[in-house]
Amino acid sequence: MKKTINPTKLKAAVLLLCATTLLFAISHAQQKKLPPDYEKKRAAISNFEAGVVPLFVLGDLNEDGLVDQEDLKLLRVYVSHPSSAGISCLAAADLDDNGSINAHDIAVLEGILSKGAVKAPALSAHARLGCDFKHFFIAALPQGRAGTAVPIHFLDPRFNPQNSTATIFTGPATVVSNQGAFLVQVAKSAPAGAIVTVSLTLADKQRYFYSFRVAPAPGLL
Amino acid sequence: MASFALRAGFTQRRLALLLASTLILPAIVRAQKPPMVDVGVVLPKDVITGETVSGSVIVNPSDYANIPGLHVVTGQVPGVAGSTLANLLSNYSLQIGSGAAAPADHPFSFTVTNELPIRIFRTGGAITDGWSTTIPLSPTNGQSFPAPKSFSMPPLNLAGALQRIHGPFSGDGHRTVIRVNNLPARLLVESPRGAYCFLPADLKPGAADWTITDEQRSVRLRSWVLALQMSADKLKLMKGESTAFHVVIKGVETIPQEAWFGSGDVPDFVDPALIRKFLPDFKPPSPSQPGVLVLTLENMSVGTVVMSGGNKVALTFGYGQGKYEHHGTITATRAGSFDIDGTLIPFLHDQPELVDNTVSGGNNNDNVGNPPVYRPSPTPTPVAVTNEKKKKEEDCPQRGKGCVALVIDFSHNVTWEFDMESLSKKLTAAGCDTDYVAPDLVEIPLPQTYGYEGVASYTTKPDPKDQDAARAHNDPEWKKVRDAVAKHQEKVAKGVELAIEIVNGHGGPKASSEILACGDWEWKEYTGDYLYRARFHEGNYRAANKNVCGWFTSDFSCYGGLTPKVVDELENLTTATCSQASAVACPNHAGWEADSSTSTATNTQTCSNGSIGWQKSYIGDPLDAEIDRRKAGSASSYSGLIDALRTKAGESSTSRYADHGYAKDKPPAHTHGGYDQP
Repeated sequence: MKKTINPTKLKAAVLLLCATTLLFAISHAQQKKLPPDYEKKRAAISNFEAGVVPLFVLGDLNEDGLVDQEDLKLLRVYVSHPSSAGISCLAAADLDDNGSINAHDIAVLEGILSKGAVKAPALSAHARLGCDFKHFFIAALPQGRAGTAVPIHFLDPRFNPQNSTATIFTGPATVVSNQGAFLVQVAKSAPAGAIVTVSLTLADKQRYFYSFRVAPAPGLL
Repeated sequence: MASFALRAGFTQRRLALLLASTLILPAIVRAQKPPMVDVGVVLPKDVITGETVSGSVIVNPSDYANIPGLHVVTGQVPGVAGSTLANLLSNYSLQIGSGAAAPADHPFSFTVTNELPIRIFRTGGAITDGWSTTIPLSPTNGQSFPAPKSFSMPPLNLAGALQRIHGPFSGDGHRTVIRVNNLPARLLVESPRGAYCFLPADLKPGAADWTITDEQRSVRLRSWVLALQMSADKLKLMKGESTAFHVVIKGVETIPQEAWFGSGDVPDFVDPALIRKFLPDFKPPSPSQPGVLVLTLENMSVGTVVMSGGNKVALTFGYGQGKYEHHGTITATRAGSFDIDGTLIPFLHDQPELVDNTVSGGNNNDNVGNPPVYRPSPTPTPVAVTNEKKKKEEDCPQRGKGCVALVIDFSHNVTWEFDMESLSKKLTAAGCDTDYVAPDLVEIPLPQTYGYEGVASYTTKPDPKDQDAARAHNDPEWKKVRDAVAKHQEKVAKGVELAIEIVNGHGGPKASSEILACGDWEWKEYTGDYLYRARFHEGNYRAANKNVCGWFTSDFSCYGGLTPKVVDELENLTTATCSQASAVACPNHAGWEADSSTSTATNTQTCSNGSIGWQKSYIGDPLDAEIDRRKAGSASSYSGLIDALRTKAGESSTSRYADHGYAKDKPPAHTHGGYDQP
């Protein structure tokens, strides 16, 4: 008996397998919102303090380094027809930080862009909606308790505390350079809920603002 | 079992309870009628019709009111000009019924009837110039008071304090001579079942050899005299000012190991409510368990000062500790002086008669022949048993009762963080009944500001509905955690061979509030609740204490060194304050065989994500070996895993505490590191 292989069926089977694999990958990525090269990136931050996470540029949906009209366009498309096409950092679209993306986020971004080009965008640690972290360049703790330090680490070897600067823009804190990182020391008297904003200027002269909240103290709920 | 309570205030040291007789009464020098002075008649409670018993007249009746074996009746007599409380009664005589007058400052004897008519009057004065009363007695037919066949006494005393002695006394105090280190001990009361006497006031801390001579019989016993010294560097503080205070127990080091076993009871003189107040779950050690001394410290000036470790502190001391001391800090919340009360309560078995010539000091000079001595021994020396039975009895009581584990994982499904799922699976594979709790928490949104140069910054305004929804989501998740903790502790308290707790998450440092004494665990962002280290470990210790062969804890979080530190405290001092120096008190160890605790961080620093990843192997490797042993059928107990966790903990982790258990820590060998000492 002669055994033949039906090319059409084989192609269908391969496509089905690819589709299943893709679905599983998407499902897995959505479940844990893991960025590409996750293990490599996790290894890069593994020597930092536990809890330190990479930061992303808020409003920079396509991670091209700019917060501009292109991001606004992507955001409008996403809100009208949810699709992540062209968006590599969905978390960056959640400008009002409420865990969902809607017309209010569009209004916030429109308000920002209406004042002109954004020269010093904001950094955020709240990546719960997912982000590829194409710009994997800086990491920090998402919050700090009064009397503790919030470290800001460089992930891009081009930057270090010697060629970059960090200053307290607002909030009850001071900042020092320490072992290749900046340490933002939150004042012992800082009230829970206070916001500390750090102004960062990197070696390439790009400026960012990173804001974090003084965490409520346990036992005082 | 007797005890003593030494209460010391720093502004005015005072020996409470039974030493007040040494206090000087303000001189009664008024030319007018002297003030009345409280006196009392003290009798033994265990009186039986027809028996001879002895009592005393005393000047400080309230000090005797709560002593269980004594019957105290109070009255008043006129003070005597120029006298003190200590010698007032030397001016008085007493008369029982119509009997002859006798000095009031000596014990008196009488035959028990339904009542005791007694008169106390000024010697040489009018018989009406004093106090007379008829004391109703409630004698029994004797069935309620079994007669002891030999003498015994509590092992510890304070110089000058009252001491109970069980034994077949005659009841007639005139025939009784008690000497301690060759010094006379003053008799207070006596019945055919026991006596109370005062130790000489000038006894030094250390061994005390007793000789009791009653009629034709002489016996010897041994006890140990302790001294409790309390002091503070400053006695008055300004607001915000702190001072060190020191508590030193002298004489404990002279107590031999064979005396360090429990009795199973709360000492006679101690109100059980006092123990419950300080140590709610404390069980007096049984005669087969190591005995302990419990020192309670209470801040009596709560509105003025705070005491390190809390306003009520209980410390436990056992055999073999190098030092029997406690040093703390007192900080004033407002200017003033302060009082700290200290009470030392021994949980040790009574000392029996000595049956050989081991009494030192050559003090048995009462020249009375020794009749045959009955010699039952309450010492916990095991009786002869077969080798197999002996081996079984010498093994951990929970051997073969399995392993239970609790893994609380705040980092499960959290991007960038290492979780404990794989470790949990290994625990299950190693045969442990494992509860893996990974709460699915979400951040409760709070206002957050973002700034853009050239643009007004903006602050998010979370919708209260979103906040409520987040709380509503988190509450049951936190309940899962607490329920799992309670369930785990319930399982451990029933007795298991090995108890394990592992927590992974974000750790917080210690803070000044009591609840945060050892910091907390939390999710990566604000979720509305926390798990507190001190409470968690204290609950686990209470569940495991003497109910496990081995106890292991591990903390994968920042400031996690607070976990081995608090385990060190619980294992030796039984309290969780994260503020005490390491001590060695092996009877307090929870496990029979070994206890250990590890963390990926010190107690004052954060740790890295990576350290959590690679330090998992310190637990994972011993578990892998245990899994292999079980697959090969060569694991009949968890002894191998218990030992591996102890040695791995002692050698490798960033911070660690490891020791042998309460039965195996001889000589004591505690390994610890990675956490600082106060």
